Amino acid sequence: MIKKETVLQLALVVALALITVLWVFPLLWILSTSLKSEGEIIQGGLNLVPRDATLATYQAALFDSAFADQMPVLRWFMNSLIIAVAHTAVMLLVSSMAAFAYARLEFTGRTVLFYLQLSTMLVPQVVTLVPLYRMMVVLGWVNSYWAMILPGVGSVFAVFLLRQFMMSIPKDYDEAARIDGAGVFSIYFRIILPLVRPALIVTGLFVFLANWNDFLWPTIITSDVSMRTLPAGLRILQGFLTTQYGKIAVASVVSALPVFIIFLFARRYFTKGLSLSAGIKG
Amino acid sequence: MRKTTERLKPYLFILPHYLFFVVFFVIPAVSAIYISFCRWDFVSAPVFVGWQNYQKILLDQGGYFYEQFWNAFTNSFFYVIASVPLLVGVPLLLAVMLHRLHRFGGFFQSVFYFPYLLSVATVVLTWRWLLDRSFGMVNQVLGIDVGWTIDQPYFWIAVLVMSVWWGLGGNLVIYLAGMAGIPRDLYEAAELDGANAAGKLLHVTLPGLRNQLLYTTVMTTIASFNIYGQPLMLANSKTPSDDKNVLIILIQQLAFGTSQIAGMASAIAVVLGVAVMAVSVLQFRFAREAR
Repeated sequence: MIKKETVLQLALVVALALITVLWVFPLLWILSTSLKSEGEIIQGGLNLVPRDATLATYQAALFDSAFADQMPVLRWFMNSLIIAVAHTAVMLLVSSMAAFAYARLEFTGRTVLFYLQLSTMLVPQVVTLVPLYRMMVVLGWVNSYWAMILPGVGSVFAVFLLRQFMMSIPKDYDEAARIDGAGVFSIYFRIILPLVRPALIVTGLFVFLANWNDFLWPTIITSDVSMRTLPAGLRILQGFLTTQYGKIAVASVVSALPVFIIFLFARRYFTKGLSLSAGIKG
Repeated sequence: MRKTTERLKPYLFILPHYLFFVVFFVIPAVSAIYISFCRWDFVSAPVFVGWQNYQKILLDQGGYFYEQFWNAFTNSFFYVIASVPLLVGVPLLLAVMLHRLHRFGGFFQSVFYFPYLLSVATVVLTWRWLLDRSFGMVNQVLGIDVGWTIDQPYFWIAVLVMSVWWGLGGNLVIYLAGMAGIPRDLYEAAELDGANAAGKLLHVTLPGLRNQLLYTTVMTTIASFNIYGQPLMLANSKTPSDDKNVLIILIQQLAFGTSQIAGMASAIAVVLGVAVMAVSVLQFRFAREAR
């Protein structure tokens, strides 16, 4: 019997290792391409390890001022970073406040207000696209950071998620604090927020990455090349460079790198399924 | 007096988010419905035209908008039909394998999950390079000359492959979390009843994952209907040819292209929204009846 189990385990590991190769290869290949010289890329060799690894393409794609005048990849990177950080901060603040009220406070209309928001989760964002664009024009936010920081805060996803976590905290905490004379604000800030810190981190990571990766909205709302985010920038970079795959590879690596670093340090938050399963069980 | 302010405080907590929600979601969504009944170019005042836009896209056979709409709808729809079983089923298979595995589970899970975190632009550029007709690794290794970015059905095969590579990890993690929550005794009881591996999968694992399967099916369907970046960037053209067009590309072309036919674009967006919601409701209903 033990033998059969060992064989099964071995077979599983081998099968999964083969799939792993398939999964990792595209990423390694683009990384490898970014480190090759344009000459080596055009020769079309199949070697994963560059013959002469060089950072020349990085230099040309990121720091060459003539190229950056047309395709400011580093500027896009900074745009993405500023927008995603600001968006995440605003989102976590207002969403955690709303989630706190829904989960821990009692007030007239709580159920109605909540379900009104919840019911919109099935409405695709694209429905709001045209009027939202018009609104940005009126506000003068076309080609501005505001258009990419604020409208997304209306999403109910984070509220729903944080409410789920906050509801799992026993009511005794609030009551004890209330007896000690704590007001609603200090219960929110001193008791509940610290208790849901892991949930805030998870939600923050998802919100940050969703914004960092957003493609459709930044593509529509920025016509000025220097105001693009990285994903929206990649779209025009691709049309601009038809043959210079080295630079495209560099830009792809640059857009994936922060995601990879976040993933390395916060892996346990992503792969626990914590956030999403919380939403499903409720 | 103090009582009143105490009672208002909960609303103060909700207010900031609700403002964002109303201003940037409710108002645009309601406006979209109104605009879909108008002729509008973003600049002059919208002119109410009743059902005209809907008639043109849905019923006006042979008309330009009818052809464009149904072409894009059909492509989006076939993508949903092809991608949802893959994006729900393949991660389920991997989850079953990983759940059975004694060691290295965390490593494999991380590997399969990571692409899920990348932007669609990065994903397509990564694959486009592999699939390049002359310099691409895939054609060279297989010794073939396939125009993955141009010819059918290869184009949509490429879209499916990169979409599975990209999106599988999200559902995988949901299944694994769900499987971890299935009590061990259920498996032991099934074993005592003489169930083999397939029996345990069928009678313990799958029923235990019912909520997760429903959730991933609904969410994946919504996401697939909203396909946009993969065909747009794989075709690498502002106006992909008809066989590569999908609803959101069409909406973008109509509203934000040269013609700025915002009313028509809104009508298509509303139809897409209604279709997505109808499918979700059907899936929920189906799941409830299957219970």
